Amino acid sequence: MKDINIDFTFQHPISRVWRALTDPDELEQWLMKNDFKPEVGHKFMFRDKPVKMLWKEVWDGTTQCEVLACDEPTKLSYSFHSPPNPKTIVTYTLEEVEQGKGTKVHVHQSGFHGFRGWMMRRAMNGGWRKLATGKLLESLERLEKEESAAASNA
Amino acid sequence: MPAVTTSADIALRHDVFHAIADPTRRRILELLKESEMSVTAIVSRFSVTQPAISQHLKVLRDAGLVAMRKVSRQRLYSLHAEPLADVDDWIGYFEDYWTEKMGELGRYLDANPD
Repeated sequence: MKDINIDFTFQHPISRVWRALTDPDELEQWLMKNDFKPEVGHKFMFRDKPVKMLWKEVWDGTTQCEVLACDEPTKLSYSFHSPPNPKTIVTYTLEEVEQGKGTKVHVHQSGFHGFRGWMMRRAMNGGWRKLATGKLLESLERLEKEESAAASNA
Repeated sequence: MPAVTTSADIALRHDVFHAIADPTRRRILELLKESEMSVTAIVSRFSVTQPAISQHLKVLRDAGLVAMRKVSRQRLYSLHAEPLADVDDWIGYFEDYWTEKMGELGRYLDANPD
């Protein structure tokens, strides 16, 4: 399974971007509620809205994490685990650009394996919420009926 | 990845996701990875009834994950894995996730520069 690699450049100094990535109150403003601390080994949790499909909750909204690297102001890495899906690792690498006026952030996420990895990607961040309209709803309802038919046949 | 995703694509791809979300159906796919099999042969590998297995095979066929051919009176099932790759391409949710979140970070920083 491939990793995710995304680059983004901000017109802000590296120290400012680092603070937004590592201050729990700032982190909540753009990412999720959390009890992050910038210390290697610190275990913390991100909390988001649970994701539901028609007949069951597919994600309770929690992501369990542990800080793996915290090298101010260039590298931050934490494990990222939304049970029952596999643990992935998210790493931010920061680099000064434009004589320190800007910062390039590289986001790398690895650890997607097998079917559950696919499922996790699908269930995350309201992917289902966005998709749960129109044809998909019909499809879900049809599949739910099939499932109950299969269950009564079994 | 097609430039335009129609709702029919979404429904089909959801079928693929739904199909692989069930452990029995994943095991059927694993078995079919090895060789083409009849329903009877597949049923013999599980502790569930033939109608239940047939229902699972129907879900897998609807999702385009298995193909069926008739040889005399037997129905032989084989794996058709392409839709899995298709789903993987399409469902780059985390790519979308981090792209969206970096956008939010940018807006946050622009609004709170100090």
